[in-house]
Order: sequence, then structure tokens, then C-alpha cells
Amino acid sequence: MSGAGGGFLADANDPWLKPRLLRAVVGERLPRPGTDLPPAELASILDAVRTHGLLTERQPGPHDPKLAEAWRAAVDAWVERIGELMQSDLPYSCWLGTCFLGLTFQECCNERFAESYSSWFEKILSNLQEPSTVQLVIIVSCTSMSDLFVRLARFLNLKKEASSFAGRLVEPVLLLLNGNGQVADEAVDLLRTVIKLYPSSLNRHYNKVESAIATNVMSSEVNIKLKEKFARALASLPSVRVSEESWSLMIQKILIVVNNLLNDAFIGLEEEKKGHEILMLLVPPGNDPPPMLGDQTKWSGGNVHVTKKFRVYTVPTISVLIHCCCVMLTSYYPVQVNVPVRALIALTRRVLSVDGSLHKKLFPSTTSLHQELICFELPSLHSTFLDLLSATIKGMRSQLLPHAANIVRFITKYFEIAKLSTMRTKVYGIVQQLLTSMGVGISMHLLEAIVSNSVADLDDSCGQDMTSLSTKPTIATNESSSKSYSKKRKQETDAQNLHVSGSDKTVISPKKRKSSSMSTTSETTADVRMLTPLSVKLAALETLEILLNVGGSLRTDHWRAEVDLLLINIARSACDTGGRYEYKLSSAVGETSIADFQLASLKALLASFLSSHARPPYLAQGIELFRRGKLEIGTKLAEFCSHALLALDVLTHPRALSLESAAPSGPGLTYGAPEKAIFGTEKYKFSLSGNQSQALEDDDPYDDWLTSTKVSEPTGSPAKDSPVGKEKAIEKSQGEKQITPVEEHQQTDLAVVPAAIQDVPTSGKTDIEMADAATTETVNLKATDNPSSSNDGLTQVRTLLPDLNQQVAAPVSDEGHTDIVDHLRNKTLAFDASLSKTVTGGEAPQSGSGSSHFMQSSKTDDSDVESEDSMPGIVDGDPDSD
Amino acid sequence: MAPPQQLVLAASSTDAGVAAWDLRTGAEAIRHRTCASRPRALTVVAGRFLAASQAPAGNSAPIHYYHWDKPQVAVKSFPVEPIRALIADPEGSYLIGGGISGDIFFWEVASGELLVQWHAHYRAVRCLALYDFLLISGSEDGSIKVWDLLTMLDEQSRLEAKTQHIYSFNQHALPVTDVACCHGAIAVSSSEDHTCKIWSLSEGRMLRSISFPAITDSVALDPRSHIFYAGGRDGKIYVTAMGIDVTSPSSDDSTIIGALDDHSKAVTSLASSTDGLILISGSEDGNVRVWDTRTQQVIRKFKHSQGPVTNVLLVTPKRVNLPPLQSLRKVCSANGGSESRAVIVPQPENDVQIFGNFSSDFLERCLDALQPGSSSRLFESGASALYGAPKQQGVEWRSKYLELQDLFVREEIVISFSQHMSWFLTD
Repeated sequence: MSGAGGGFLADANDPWLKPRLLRAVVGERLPRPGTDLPPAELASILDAVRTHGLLTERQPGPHDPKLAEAWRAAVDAWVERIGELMQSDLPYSCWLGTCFLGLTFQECCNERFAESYSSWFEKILSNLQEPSTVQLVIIVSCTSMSDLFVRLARFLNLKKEASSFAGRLVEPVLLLLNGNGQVADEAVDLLRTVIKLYPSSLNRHYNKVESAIATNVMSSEVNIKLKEKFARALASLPSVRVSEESWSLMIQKILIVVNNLLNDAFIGLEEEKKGHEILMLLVPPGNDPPPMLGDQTKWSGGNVHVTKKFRVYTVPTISVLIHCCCVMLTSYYPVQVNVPVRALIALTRRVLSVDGSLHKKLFPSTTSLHQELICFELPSLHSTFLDLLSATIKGMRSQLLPHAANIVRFITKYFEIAKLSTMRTKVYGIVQQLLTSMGVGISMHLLEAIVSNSVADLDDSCGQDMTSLSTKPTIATNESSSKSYSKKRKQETDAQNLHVSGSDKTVISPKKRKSSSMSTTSETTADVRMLTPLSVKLAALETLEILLNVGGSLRTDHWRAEVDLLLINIARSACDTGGRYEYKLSSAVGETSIADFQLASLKALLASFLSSHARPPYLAQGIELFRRGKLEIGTKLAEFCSHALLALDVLTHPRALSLESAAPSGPGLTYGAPEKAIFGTEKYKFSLSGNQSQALEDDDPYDDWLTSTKVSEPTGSPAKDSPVGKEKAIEKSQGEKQITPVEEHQQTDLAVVPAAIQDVPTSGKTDIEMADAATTETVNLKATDNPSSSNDGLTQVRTLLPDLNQQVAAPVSDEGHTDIVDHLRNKTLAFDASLSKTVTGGEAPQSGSGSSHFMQSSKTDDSDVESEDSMPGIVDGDPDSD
Repeated sequence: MAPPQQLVLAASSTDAGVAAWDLRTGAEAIRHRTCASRPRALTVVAGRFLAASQAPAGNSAPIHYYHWDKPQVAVKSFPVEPIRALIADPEGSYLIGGGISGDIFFWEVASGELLVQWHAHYRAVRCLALYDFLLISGSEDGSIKVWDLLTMLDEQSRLEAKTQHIYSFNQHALPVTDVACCHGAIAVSSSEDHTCKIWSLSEGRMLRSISFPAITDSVALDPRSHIFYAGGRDGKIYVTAMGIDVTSPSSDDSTIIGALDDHSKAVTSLASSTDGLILISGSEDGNVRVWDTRTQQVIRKFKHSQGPVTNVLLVTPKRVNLPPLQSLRKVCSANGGSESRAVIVPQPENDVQIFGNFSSDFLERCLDALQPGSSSRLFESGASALYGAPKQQGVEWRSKYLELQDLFVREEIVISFSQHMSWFLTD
């Protein structure tokens, strides 16, 4: 090769470049012992070695012995120079050498590492053991040693040697643990690496290690960050002796210490027995208590003044020990272990139920100073135990089920105590975790707490806006959309707006009243409201989102309307760039920004749309927001908005996915509520006539849709049309009871009757389109036109496809008049059904054509029952609230 | 890497054991004996082991546990009454059994503790299903009830609740034979009244009822849940669309879109694979068939025994080290289940790998700390400081720190300088 001799290289990829570069680095840039090295140089050496892989000795292409030789020589020179640097008495050179040695561990080839790891180990170890070594060198020796072990762990054949090395390392490292902050910091990292990689090597030193760590954890001189590192080391200690007992023993010991510390802290603020009860859970009567954690006689804090002790010793120790428990609960352990879950939950409950108020029976020892101290530290204690609860949920997963109801109870209660924003955010986080881990079951239990609290938290941002939706949005959508809107209808909606805005108060007030009667904490949260920080609102929104995802369709009657309205309002005000959002100014760096909030509000809005089983009432407004958000190119918001539009696309234009080969075509995913199925049958209508997209927020187009269904169905029987009438009937009843959101209210009062007549011409037109399309697309088939036995049906399905084309052409001409007739008929039918309620949901007629009728009428029945139930509820609501 | 082994399991009501066939090779892997189970009585506990409640023989009807690789019964438990239906939750924490008296038993697997037992139905519980932690039970008396396990497991909530169940569906006229759930809170039940019914668990009502020409004994859902399979007494497996076409003038049988027809006797049990491509069926003719759902052809056929096959399952065994299995207790412990045991099973996904690069990270941290200022000058003087004796160092470094303070404006750096050497190691 051209570069072989030292002449020109072929190109930048010439393998000869590397040994030459390395030689240059060693010769000209790597300092000799005693020389300085500017940091820019240091950085460039580091960069060169890593970018070009100068130490890898890995040749691309065919093996070239000459190149290998040259490269080896260059690396030898590098290693030799590093050796010289390390031997130097000058701390800086030694530091530099050790740094580069660490780099060599990562970069060098396997053969070289296997050859020289033991001599390297000795060199670093001697650095560590030398008492006179400068701290900086000790620190870098620790990091290099960690690298050595990490690399060594990849050599499975060297496992035995590696563990013996690890064993030798333990004693010096333990000495370092008691050293100065930075040294201890790196030393504990090294210790964790060793525990993780070679747990068995620590077996002999187990007690010593435990006590050294425990001493540090409970020392009041160690700073909190370092303490957490120690806590993590303590948490990994059980893996030294892998057994069920060692893990359980460790957590048991820790919890006993924590419980005892809490006993002292909470004197006078809780029942006296609580600590004892928890101890009983940890150490069941008859069992011996476990040995103490570490050597507790050494604990500092004994001779500090009692007030300071609480602040510098008790609380930090509790939080760091609980942190250790959290790590233990959530990290991998090779065998199945028993968790004292009852004790964990009891302990959490114990702490979270302390609100700083004095317990009834006053202790003589309780002073106002003590109370003050505790109230000062309470947030940090609560925060710690919320973390513990979170880790418990994560670690225990489904096994928390027997305790879930208990947790729900005290978390619901804790919502009342939690006023500080960090606490509230954390409680919301817990609730989110519970929802995700336990699913729909727990959402029933948490529903009320979530809705009342998040409404309280979110409400202030759009307190005035709550009413604005009734007037503003329709104008907005009219502007944005829509040429497709007929002028007549526009006037009509405007007229409605006038009408509705006049009656705003009457429409909104029952709702407000309802919300306040629902929320148990409405009085207490009122003062929080105006000050709710953005982070809390964000958490509340996220919680609502998850609630909707998990249990959005559950018991919708008494909370969905409120939440849906709230979410659209929040999203609108968040996305409103008019700048009237006062938080925009106050968001500092690192805090929750308005952008996060916008994103969260849109996420929640999407969840509200997608989880709804009925048609989402504010879909059009939402789509507008998503469309606007999509334009914010390059932001997360835009990313999410395009995702949201994609997700909603299926909702607005449902597609019939054919069943895989099992049938020629099928009705697609329209199972579920019958009203959904009605939409499903109209799907082609949507995709074909783009100008109808606005139809979604209006109820009138039902009539358009209805006609299109007849395309493939020449014999229009009244029975099949009844769902539409039924929808109207529901609306009618909803309109009467005035509980529905403003939007619906507008539509129902005026639109019902004229719409049917009005729509005839348009529907006729679209039906022709429909018919045209039907010949090209596989429309959802009306599987059988004539009632037949099921066996016939099965065979008939397969022959349907060709029939379709013939059927399609015929009915178009009839459309116009059948329409009107049907509408009229619908209305009478629907009212009959809703008034008489003769059909009960229980019996399923077996007969052929009766069945679809049954489905619809049973639905009618259900909804009527609902409306009947809720109507008196509202009427009663007035006297109740007074 | 070879794909994980998938086993087809089948049990019979006559004592022919639980047969396990490798789905890929078709070879019989193992036959666990003894086992004679009625339908819905065989279940897999999170892929870890197998549990089957036995049909009553004499006056005992135990529940057997089997390990994957051992043919004999691992543990026998003796519940107070014969268990008709048995299921485990997806994580294998609990076993739920429905007894012949209509009681439901809820055991914790780790401890064997009976956490709660309640009277659910007037007659025997025939089938159970879980949706999250909602339990759906179908009974011989034709009723289907939905229970919130959270409430059932907590004494206080149980007392507070008006009714113990969330919903009670009585639309089935005859015994409910099977029930299955799919996402979206939809449940499908089959019954001896010739119908399958689709329920909405969130709204608590029946969505549809589909009549079949024969009694259906079992249902299985396609994972995409647009179709379900119903196994009929006439030996056919009906492929049924979940979606409904209300505009169809004819009856609901239009949603029965096909039938798999190969069994000569009643199809008692169905299982669908997670990808929906394979359907397993067990029949009273003693055979187990594996269907390709796309071509609707039988791709494998296993002969179990002469007796009727009552249960089929398709499982991917997880061969993990199990702690000794505990037998299930007869009664709830008196002291409120304090001996119940929560465990953490090894979850390798929680394992945090240690990545190397400590030294270079360390170096980079040093360099980062130096970059914002005029780094070369700083490092030169800093380096020269290192030449001093260790004791002097502190003083010199302190003065460097003061210099640095001007250069590093950011607050967090200033804080971390509080110790005399720490300027080097800003986090």
C-alpha cells in the first residue's frame, strides 16, 4: 500500500493513517512526565484516539502483517508512555497517565487487554493504596479501575482472576469511602460496579461493607447526593449473597430504622400505637428481630441539638433510606423475593396521613417548636414517601391488587392535604401509575377524586372561558371552514348563538352546581385555584388523559360532559396565542413551559375524542386546534398534532377494513354501540363528498347519511330507519333537560325539525355520487336482502359481490321522495318508541328481520331509561343545592 | 435465535392427562398425568406453570399444578368444593376459581392463600374471564356477572358497595358456556340457548345477540377483535363478525360469515394465537385441530385420546426458576390474610447494565468544566498548581476557584465549587 513506507496515503481511509497518526500523537502531543498539557490539547488527543480508533488495532480488509506490526509498535509506544506518566512522582503526570490508561481500557484490542490487564490493575491499585496519593489521582484511579472491570467482565474466561482482583480491591475501596466527598463519590461508584459485576467477591467482606455504607448513609456530614449514591450501593448489596432472605432482610432492617425514626418525629401528631403496629407487620410476633442495620452506635446525630438533629439527621436519613428501598423495589434481582408490602403501605399511609395538626391527646413533650419543625420538613417527607409508593406500585404490579382499595382511600384523602405544587404533581403521578397498572377497575374508584381535583386545578385558567364556547367557537368554525356550510344554516346557527348566549347562565349553572356537589374538596381547593402553577395543571391534564384512555367510556353519564367541555376549553385557551394567558410571562427556565402545557392539553383532548363512544361534541373545534398546531413546524406540538389528525381521521372517515379472506367484504370495526354502527354505514359518504366534513359537528347530516344507506337497499323498510329517529328522540330529551353542553343544546332545540326537510336536495345529490362510487368500491354489503336462514346466509355472503352492482343502479331515482316519507315516518316511530317504551332489552327475538329492529329499539329503550333517570336528578338538584 | 417454543395443550374430561404438542414440529412434547378436567378448568399461570382443576372423582376434586418439563403432578391442592372454572391473571399472581356451588375463590399464587371467597351465582360457575381487574363470571343459571376485584378484595369497600357486582346480565336463558374479553371493554359470551352475546363492560349492557344454529360451547376472539369464533355442538366453528350492520334487513345471522367444519363432534374449546393466524380447536371426537385462519384449512391434527377434549390452550412456556409452589388453601386465614405474600419475580428488563466509559466521561466532565473559560490558560495554571505539595494545593486551588468564579457565571457551577477541588468535577 502506498502509505506503507511513510510516503503519501491513498486517502483518509487508508489503514496506514492510524499507526502514523498514533505515532505522531505519542511523539509530538502526548506529554512526557513533567510537561504540561493544555486542556485543548488533551481534548484533541482524546478526540483523535476515539474518532479514528487509533488504539483498536483492527484492520479493515485483508490482514496486512506489516501494518499490524507498525500499528502494534505504535500502540506499544503509547502504552509505554502512559506507563511512564503513571510512574511519575508528579501528580499531574500521574493523573494524566491514569486518565489515558482508562481510555486505553476502552479502546484497545482484546488481545492487548488480556495480555496486560493484570499489570495495569496492579499499577492502579498501587495508586489507590498509596496513602500519599493526591486526591485527584485517587479519583481518576477509581474511574479507570471501573473501566478495567467493565472491560474485564466481557472476558468470560477471565472470570476467576477478575473476581480475585475484585476481592483485593474491596479493602482499599472501603477505606476510601470514608474519605473526602469527591473521593468517596468515585469510590462508591467503583464499589457499585464491583458489586454489580462480581458480587461473589464481596462475600467475605459483606458485613464490613454494609456497615461502612450504612455509616455513611446515616452520617450527617455527607451531602445528600452522595448519600443517595450510598443508598444505591446499599440497595445492590443483597445481590452479594443472592437469596430470598438477604433481600428481605435488608429491606426489613431499613424499614425498622425508618419506622423508629418516624416514631421520634411524629410524637404528638398521630396515634401513639401506629409505629408499633407497623413494627408488628415487619417483625411478626414470635419472630426474632433482625440484626441492626450497620453499626448503629456510630451514628452521628446523638450529640447535636434536638432541633438541628431533626433537620440535618432524621429527615435526610429517612429520605435516603427510603430511596434505597425504592431502588430495591424497582431493580432486578435474580431470585424471587418476598416483599413486606403491608408494612410498606402502612408506613406510607402513616406518613401521608400526618398533616401537621396535633393529635387529640396532647403529649406534654410536644411543643409548638416541634410542630413547626415537622411542618417545615413535612413536604420533603411526603415527597419521599410518595416516591416509595410509586416504587411499590412499579415493583409489585398486579400484586398490589389486594391493597389497591386501601391505597385509593388514602390517596384520595391525601389530595386534600396536598396543597404544595410538588406534592400535587406527585400525587397525580401516583394516580396515573395506579390507573395504568390496574386499568379500568381502579378507574371507577379514582374517578371522582380525579375529576373533582383536576377540575379544581384546571378551572381557573378558563374560568371566564367556560361560557365562551357557546358563542365564539361556532363563529370560528364557520370562518375556518366553510364554504360547504349553506348560507341558510349559517344564519341559523348565528341566530342560535344569540339565543343561547342569552341563556348562558341558565345553561351553565346547573352544570356548575353539579360539579361543586361532586367535588368533595371544592371548598378547600378554592383558595388554591387561582395560584395553581402550570406544573400541577400539566399533571392534572395528564391524569385526565390517562383516565380517559383507561376508563373513558365508563359510567360516562355524570362526568364526561363536564370533562370534555373542560378539556376543549383548556386546549383552546392554551393554544390561544393572543397572549392573554398570564403564565406565559412567568415561565422561567426549567419550569413547565406553556408549550408543554399546550401539548398536554391537546393530548388530553385527543384522548377525550378517541375514548368517547358517542360522537365527540367538540370534534370540529378540536380538529381546528390540531390543524393549527400542525403548522408549528419543528415543534413537538406539530409532531403530535399530525399524529392526532391521523388518529382522528379514522373517526371522521371510518374505513371498512375487509375481513381477512374470511369474507369478501365486511362491515369493519363497527361493532359496539349501535349508534356507532350507523356512522359506520355512512363512511363512504364522508370520503366522497369532501364538502360534508363539517357535518361532523352538526347533527343534521344524519338525514343525508340515512339516504345514502338506501343506495344498496331498494326496499326501504321503516324498521331500519328507526335509529335515526331514535337519535333525534334522545336529543330531544336531552334538549329538554338542559344538562347537555351548550353545543348540543343549540343544535337540538332548533335543528331537529327543519333539518329533515332542508336536507333533501343535498342528499339527493350526494346519493348519486354514492351510487357512482359504489360501483368502484366495495361498499359495505347488506349481507342479505331477503331474510334467510343462517346457513343460507353463509353461502350467500360469497355470492354477494357481483350482485351489488346491479342493486346499486336501481334506487337512485327513487331517492327524493322516499326520503321525505321516511323522515316523517322516522319521527313518529321515534316518538312512539320513546314514549311507549314497550320493548325491553331482555328478550332477543329470534326471527329474521325482527332482530335488527330489536337492536335499535333496545337501544332506544336504554337511552330513555337513562334520560329518565337523570331528569329527575336535575330537577331535584335545585332544592338540594340550596 | 430459534423462535420460542409454542405448545398446544389439551386436556380431556376422561383421565388422559394434559398433552403438550410442539406447534412447529407437531411432536408430542410431554403428557402430564394425571388430569381429567371439565371445560375451562385448565389454565396457564403466566407461562410459568400449568394449573388444572380436576373433575370430581369420588369425593375429591383437587387442583393440580404441573411443571413444564415434568410429567407428574407437582402440587395438589384440595379446595373445599370442586372447581368448575379456573383462570389465572396475566402476571400469574392470582388464581381464580369458580365452584360448583356458585362461589368464586380468589387465591394468591405465591402464598397459596385464599384471599377472598364469595357467593356469586345460584348455580355452578361455568366460565371466568378477566378484563384488567374486572372479573366476568358466567354461570349455569344463565347469568353473567361482572365483579370489580378491587372492591371484592377489600373488606371495607365490599361493605360500602351497594351491590357486590358491577353488572349482572340475565339475558341468557340457559347456562353460559364460555366468555371471553377483548380490548375496548367488550365481552363475548356463549350459551346453551343457541346464542352468543356481545356485552359492553363500560356501559354495562348487551350490544348484540347472535343466534346460531347449534348450541355454542366456546368462544375465542381474534386478537384484532373484529371477528370471533364460536364452537358449536354440531362440530362447526362459526366465524362471526363482531361488527354489526344495522341496515341489513335480514336477521343477525348475516354476521356469521363462515364456518370451519372438520370436527365430527361438538367443539368444546377454542384458543386463538396472539397473531390471530392460528386457531386451535378441541372436540368431543378426541381430536385437536390447528387451523390456519386465513386459508381456513386444518394445518395440524393431534389425537388426544378416545375421550372428549375439553380444554385446549396455546402457550409459550417461560421456563424460569420457580420457587417451590404452594398448595392452595381451603379457607381464608382468620387474621385477615396477613400471611399473604407479595413477591417480586425476577424481571430481567429491570436490570440496568453498567456501561463503561467512566474515564472518558470523567475526562469530558473535566474538559466541560474548563471549556467555557479561556481554557488553556486555566489548565496551564491549574496544572502547574499540581506541582505544589499536597498541602499547598488547597490554597492555590482556592485562589483558582476565585478566579474561576468570574468566568463561570452559572449558578450550579458555583455551588459545586464549594469544595476546594471540585471545580474540576462539575456535574
